[in-house]
Amino acid sequence: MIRGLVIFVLLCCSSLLSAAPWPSWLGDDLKPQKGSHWQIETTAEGVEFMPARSAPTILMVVSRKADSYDTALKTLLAIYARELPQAHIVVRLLPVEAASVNSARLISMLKKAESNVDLIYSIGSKATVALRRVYSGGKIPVVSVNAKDPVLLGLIENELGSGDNFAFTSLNLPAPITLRYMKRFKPSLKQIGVLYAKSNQSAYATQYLPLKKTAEQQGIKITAVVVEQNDPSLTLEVSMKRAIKELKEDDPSLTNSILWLTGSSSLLVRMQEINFHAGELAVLSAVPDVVNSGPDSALMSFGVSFVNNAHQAGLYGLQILSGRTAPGDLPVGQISPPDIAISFAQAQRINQKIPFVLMEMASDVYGSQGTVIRSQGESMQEQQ
Amino acid sequence: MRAAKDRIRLILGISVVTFSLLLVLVVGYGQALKSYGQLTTDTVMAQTEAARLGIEQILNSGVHLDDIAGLNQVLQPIVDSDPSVTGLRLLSAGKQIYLFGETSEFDSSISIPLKNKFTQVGTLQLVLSDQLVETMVSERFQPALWLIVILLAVFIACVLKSTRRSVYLSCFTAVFLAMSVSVMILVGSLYRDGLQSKALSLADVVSQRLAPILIHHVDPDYVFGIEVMLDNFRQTNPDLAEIAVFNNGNIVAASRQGSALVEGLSSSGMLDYSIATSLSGEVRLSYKAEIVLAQLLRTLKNFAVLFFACGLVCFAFIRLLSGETKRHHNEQVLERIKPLFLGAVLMESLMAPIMPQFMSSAAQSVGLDAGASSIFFSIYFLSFALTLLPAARLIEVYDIRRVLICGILLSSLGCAVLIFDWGLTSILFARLISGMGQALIFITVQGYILRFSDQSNKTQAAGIIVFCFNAGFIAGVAIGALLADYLGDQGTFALAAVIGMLMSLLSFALPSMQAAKKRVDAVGRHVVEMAFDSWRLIKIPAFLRTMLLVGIPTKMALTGIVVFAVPLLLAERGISKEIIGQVLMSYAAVVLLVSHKAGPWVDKLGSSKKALSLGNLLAGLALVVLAYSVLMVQSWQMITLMSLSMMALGFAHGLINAPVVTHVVVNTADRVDSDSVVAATYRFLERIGHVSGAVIVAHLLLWFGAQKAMLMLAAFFIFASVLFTVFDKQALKEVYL
Repeated sequence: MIRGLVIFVLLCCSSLLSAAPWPSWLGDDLKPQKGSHWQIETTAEGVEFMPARSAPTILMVVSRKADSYDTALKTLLAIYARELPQAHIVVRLLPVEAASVNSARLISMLKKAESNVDLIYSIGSKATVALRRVYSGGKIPVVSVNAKDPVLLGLIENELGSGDNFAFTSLNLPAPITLRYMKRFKPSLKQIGVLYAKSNQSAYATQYLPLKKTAEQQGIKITAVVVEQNDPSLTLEVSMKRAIKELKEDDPSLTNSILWLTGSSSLLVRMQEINFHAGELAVLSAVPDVVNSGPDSALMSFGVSFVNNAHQAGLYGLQILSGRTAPGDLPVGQISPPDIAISFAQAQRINQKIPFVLMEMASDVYGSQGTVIRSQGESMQEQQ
Repeated sequence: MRAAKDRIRLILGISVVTFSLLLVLVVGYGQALKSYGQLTTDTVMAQTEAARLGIEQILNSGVHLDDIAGLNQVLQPIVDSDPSVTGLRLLSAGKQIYLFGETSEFDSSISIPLKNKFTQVGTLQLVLSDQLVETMVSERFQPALWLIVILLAVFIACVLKSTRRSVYLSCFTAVFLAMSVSVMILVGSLYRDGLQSKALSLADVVSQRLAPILIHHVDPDYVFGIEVMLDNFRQTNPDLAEIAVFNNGNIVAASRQGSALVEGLSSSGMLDYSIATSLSGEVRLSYKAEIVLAQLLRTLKNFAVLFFACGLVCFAFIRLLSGETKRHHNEQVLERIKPLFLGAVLMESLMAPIMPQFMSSAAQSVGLDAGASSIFFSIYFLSFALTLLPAARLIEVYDIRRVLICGILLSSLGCAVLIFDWGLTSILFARLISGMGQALIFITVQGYILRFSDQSNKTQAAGIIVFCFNAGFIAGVAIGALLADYLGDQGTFALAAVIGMLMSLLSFALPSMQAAKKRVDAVGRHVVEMAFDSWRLIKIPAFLRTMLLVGIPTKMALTGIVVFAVPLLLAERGISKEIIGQVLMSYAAVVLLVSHKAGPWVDKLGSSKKALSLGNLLAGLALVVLAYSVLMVQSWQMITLMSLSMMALGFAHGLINAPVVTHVVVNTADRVDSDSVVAATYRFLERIGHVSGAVIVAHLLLWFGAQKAMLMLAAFFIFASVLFTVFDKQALKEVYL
């Protein structure tokens, strides 16, 4: 009796010891709660989310730790829990060594996957570019999530589709749509200052250049506001003062101008300084999170939310798994109308009017006192 | 004896007045049901739109429908918006996530798709109970039943006091008007209630869209374009004249810029509503007066039409009802013939506004096209025509009253058979016996008129037929069209059958006349005789000319254009049955008016040729107008031009109808002994136009389209008019014959 009890306790302890800890590159929010559709298995390589019935198997390759990737994963998990509850989701980190993708390990991971995986999601631009390079024309269909525009990244030639085993979604709002919404915001728009970090080549290639080309075709002047903190002539303060001076030459009151903040991470965290230097110039951004209830918020954003992007990737994946569509036939998934966020505190600060039509379309609206008026499209309760 | 007569007179009078007042009530009730029902639907749909906007705003930000919290708060206002909402449920991928009411109710629900940025993710299903709306309207109309009793008491008191026609007519008018005004007030008050509910829902939609300002206190000075939204909102709700939003008593925005609106809304007090939508928010909106006026005018127009129709019926009965005695027995018989023939025609024409569509549907239900429906449509006219010959002989060998009763009963049976859905064969059988019955009625009525009139008032006596036919047609199409929506097709057929039964009872008031000849011959022999008469008359050039250039084309225009093509063309454009009925009525009203004047004029001058030539020319011009009416883009333009065209055609037929019989009788007097034979043979042969009208016109419409077909027919009538004028040389002689 005692011997049996000892063996049982030892078995329990050994199983506990054999489980790897939750990986540091995933957020804690992803851990399934009690009653969740998912159960997980953590190993040294990563985490496995397993439903009671598991087929098909979906491999998700994450570029690195990022809140946005957690959001994408969370959305995809919710979609599959609802639409394909028997799916077995395997999450892996993109093999990286010395800041570069280890192609050999990635190829090995993909070869191994070919025996039991039905679909791959590449989460993030880095993972998408890496998979595209080593697995274009491969056996398993691949869908990109949370990645920039594949055409602008040079991964495919046009937006009609890859023609092979890749289906892409895009976090970039196409430049003509971006410009259309800018003009809806300011019908008299004549100039746009585009703020980007010199080191962020992706922002330059996928946001600055397309916007410049489209805007200039429509007679709108683009002023580059390039920031490189290590270069004294290109610090945020210097570049912005120079740009605003240039903008004021043609538009002294800046009523026909805006400042467009690209998705350069190093700049997104410096909203306080950007607002300070911008003065009464309206600051708009392509990144929804830059607009928030705090004082250091952009006035407005119109871009693609991580949730909606992942939602579209989820629908693409379901279409491919159902056999209805070949991945190469799917056009680059772009969200329209864009996800809009507005801060009325900023509108009040710079005495800027907001078009009603954009306010009605906005999924996130913050009041003049920083109150949340609408969050994820849902209106808050009446405030007394 | 006298007391019994008075009692019958009183009962008849009460019946006619009760029928008229009930018609007002039913038409008003139908109108109220329609308008209040529409407003109720608008109210609920506006509230549903507000909920859809709210839900889709959340869905667009990526939240799944199942994950939306507080759905009850969004959906409950739909349930609260009107008691007629008996079911509401929200489906997400087939799964029910919100339910109000019974699941079984959702078989006939309104479905509103809910979409996110990519696809439809759910459905909002709504069940509206027509029965509850009906109950609500019925409750409001209950006092009107008591009003009928009171008005009847007033009417009886007046009629018992005096037997004068003027008193009778005045009393009828007063009672009818009192009822009409009361029902109009009822309809108006229900409409106003409906408008108020709709205003509340519309205010909710606007308030929801402006929630950041009205609820979350965003300064409206930092938002622009609200006026544009309000203006668009106003345009998508055509009933609205103005809409303005206020916060803490200050104007936020208005659908029309400037202070005039605010002043207008605050000072006019006309159809404006002020609705508090939150602690500080307020939506003020104002309806267009013309929309409400149009609604009331429509009711007024319908009542006016009804008054005219009931007035005609009452007028036909007046001599019977008022108790005024006539000196001559012959005139008494003619007076009794009037209401009877009018009632018989009314029975058939009650179905006129619905019959072309009913026959088309019957043909389509067995996979046949419009051409086939026109042939079915013609069966009535064919059996009518084929019965004329034997009928003319029947009244000479049998008791004319018995023949009349048989005709009325056959026609009533034809209407009664249509009540039951027994398939195409039974419909064709019903139309066949209706045609036979109406032909028997027509010939017996003509027989009575010919027997009880003399040479001095022959055309005027023939005018009785024209008057009663058109008055019956007017009353029938007007009442039938107004009741069609409320009673439905089957209800209309049933009403026609009941009227037929009443007319068969009334026919006992006519004298029974024994057979003029012994009934030894078979009907076949009479047919041979009629064929012989026809052959003899056809050989007379004046008869043939009149027949081919005037008689047949006129009847062809009546059945092919007025009765068949016009209702179909209007129905194809989605024009309501009541308007179709009123367009047809405009034709008959002018025929009646012109026939009334044309008869004495022709009798006096003997110039029937001029009347017939002019009639044909006018018919051609009327068809040119009709051809252009179908090109009109706006419905009201089409209705106006068609009404004008029908009036012109009515004028033309008014000039032709009575004089044409006189024309052939006079022109053949030296070659044929009996006027009755000429008239009967003519009436029989002109039925070729009756029979072929719908078939010819339907095929012309199919082959050439509406406009070309009408222009071709117009060209024919103008050409016929010229030929008739040039070749008919006996016209001047008629005066002296």
